[in-house]
Amino acid sequence: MRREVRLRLRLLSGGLFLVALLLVTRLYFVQIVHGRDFSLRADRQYISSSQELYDRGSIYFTRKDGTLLSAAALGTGFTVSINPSKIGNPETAYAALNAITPVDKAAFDASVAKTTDPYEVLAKRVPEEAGTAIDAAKISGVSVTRERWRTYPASTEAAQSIGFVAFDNDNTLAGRFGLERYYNDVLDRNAAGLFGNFFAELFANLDNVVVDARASRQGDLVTTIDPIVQEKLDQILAATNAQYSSQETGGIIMDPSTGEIIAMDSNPSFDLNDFTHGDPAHFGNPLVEHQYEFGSIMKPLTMTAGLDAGVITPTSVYNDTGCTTVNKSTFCNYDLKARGPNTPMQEILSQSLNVGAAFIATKLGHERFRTYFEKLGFGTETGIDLPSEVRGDIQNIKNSPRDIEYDTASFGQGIAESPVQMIKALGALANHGAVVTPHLVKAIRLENGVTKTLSWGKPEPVFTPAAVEDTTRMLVKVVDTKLANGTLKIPTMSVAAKTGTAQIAGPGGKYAEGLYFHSFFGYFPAYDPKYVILLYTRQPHGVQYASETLTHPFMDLTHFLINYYTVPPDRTAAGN
Amino acid sequence: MRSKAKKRQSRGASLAMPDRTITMLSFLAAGIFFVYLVLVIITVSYATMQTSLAAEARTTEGAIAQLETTYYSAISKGSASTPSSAGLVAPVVVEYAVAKAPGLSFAGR
Repeated sequence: MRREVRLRLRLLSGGLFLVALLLVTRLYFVQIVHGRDFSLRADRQYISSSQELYDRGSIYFTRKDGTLLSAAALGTGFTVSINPSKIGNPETAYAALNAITPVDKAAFDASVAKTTDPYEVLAKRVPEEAGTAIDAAKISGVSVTRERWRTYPASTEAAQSIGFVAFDNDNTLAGRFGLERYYNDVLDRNAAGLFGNFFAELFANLDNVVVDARASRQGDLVTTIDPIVQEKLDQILAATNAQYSSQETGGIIMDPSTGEIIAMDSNPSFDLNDFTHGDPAHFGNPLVEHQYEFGSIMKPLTMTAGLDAGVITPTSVYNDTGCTTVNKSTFCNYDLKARGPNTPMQEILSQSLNVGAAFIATKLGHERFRTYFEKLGFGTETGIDLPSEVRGDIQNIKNSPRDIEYDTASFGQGIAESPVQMIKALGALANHGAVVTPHLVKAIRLENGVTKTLSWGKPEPVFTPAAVEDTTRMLVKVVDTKLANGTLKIPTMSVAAKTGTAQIAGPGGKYAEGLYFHSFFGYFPAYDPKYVILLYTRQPHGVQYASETLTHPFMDLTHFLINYYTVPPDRTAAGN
Repeated sequence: MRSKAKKRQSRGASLAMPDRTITMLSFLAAGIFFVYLVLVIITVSYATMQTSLAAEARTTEGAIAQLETTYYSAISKGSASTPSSAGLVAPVVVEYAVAKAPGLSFAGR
């Protein structure tokens, strides 16, 4: 019996010790591991317990020197309110309040008149200094409540890519567009369960107590966008759109070796800090959500496919008839003129000859042509970290056995792609033949202090470097001799570029007269590219060709990037 | 009868709580309670300090965001301004730096 009692006592002691250990462990996690959450809770009660303080991760731009600048942050300030029944002398209260922060007298009097309402808001988002001064003044019946809100210091810069936070149908604040939506799980801070029943949590959520899963998921986003380049791009897009009264003008600047997007935007856009007055039609991102027929900037890809497959060489020639009829459909060069027999491959790019591009497509054959275009990513999502990405439309070369579909696709008509798909594919020419995944976020700064670098996969080879180099040499010649008759050539920098002018389908699906989609792409230094640029403008007025609308915006950007990043010259002034 | 009484006596003796165990448990309980109180005090102090620091950090972040707005505005003005408005004129002769090495090929890389 004595042995039984001893056993019970030991069990009891052990149990007590275990409970004590659990309590100590729990306290450790309360004060050390979850200390920040409790401090936030306490912060909510700092001045008034009536309001839940908003919290959300930040989004950063990255300057060329690595400095982070907020693209989305939290603004802090105060809400000023009054309790009319306790206001005492309204005139004295108003004078004291107005001396600190401007208050509308009529609104103040109207609020004071509502004596049955104990809480009347006078002003929101009052600056920190003013709010603290009002609190210190201890004006009878006047109270201040700490307030936080989402703010976007760069306002309109990359607005469609950053997105914004708004209430959804469940009355919950969440990211609605852009990165705010795509990375909502990372940025969101509305975690529950920490302030529940102490013992229930201790035993029910032991795994969460030991390992805080949120800390390994929530954080701030570090984007690849350079705010200075972004601002320059925005200004150029706005000027171009205004000059030609276009429906829309967009652009992307990307590092072709990594897929890091340095700047991207479209115009018209909106102010992130005032989106309630913006046009909802501009909230989405046309660079990933819309698809267009890009026209002749597709020709360098067709050329490279032909060179890569070995069906042509840089010295090959063909008979340019000016117009060709295939499957009872006729397509022509832009000027309807024939260049005759022995037309060199260079001229297909220099003069943007549709008949020549179709010649290469015919040489490639359906299967090979389709395979190249699929490898370039057409018809599938790029995987960019933005919501609502479209897949593009290459059904014409997937389902139809007709030659005409391949011929038109070779010069960028009949198939449609999003601008981000297009820059991904064209990026292969600037990356030794391999495609990369375009992306905006390069790292997440986690709540636990660790910076997690995101992996965007390895480059996938599509063309051989030799085929790409041959095409690059042709495109450099386009800039040096054909673009504005060679007047825009940069003697110390090789720039490869191509314009594209596509017809736009009108009502009924037929191409309409006078409706054009202009595009322009290029990269430099051409033989070891650091930057690839894609520009487009939809339905510009008073001009027909992209060489008229986008040549100068492209060259302005090129000169800006060379100066800003101090890109060293890659050839002598003589152009060698 | 005697033997029955002896048995009861010995059973009563075996049921009595050992003095050492009671003392040990009392000290243990007191110790744990003391540790608990200390931790509560530390927690409250820590939370108070954390609260004031967090409020200060948030206020600073808000101020930084305002400065960043000013910075973005300056970038915008700088990018929009033309060199001529700053009194600069186009050079009469343009000279280019000479490349150190021609980089005309990346084949084979």
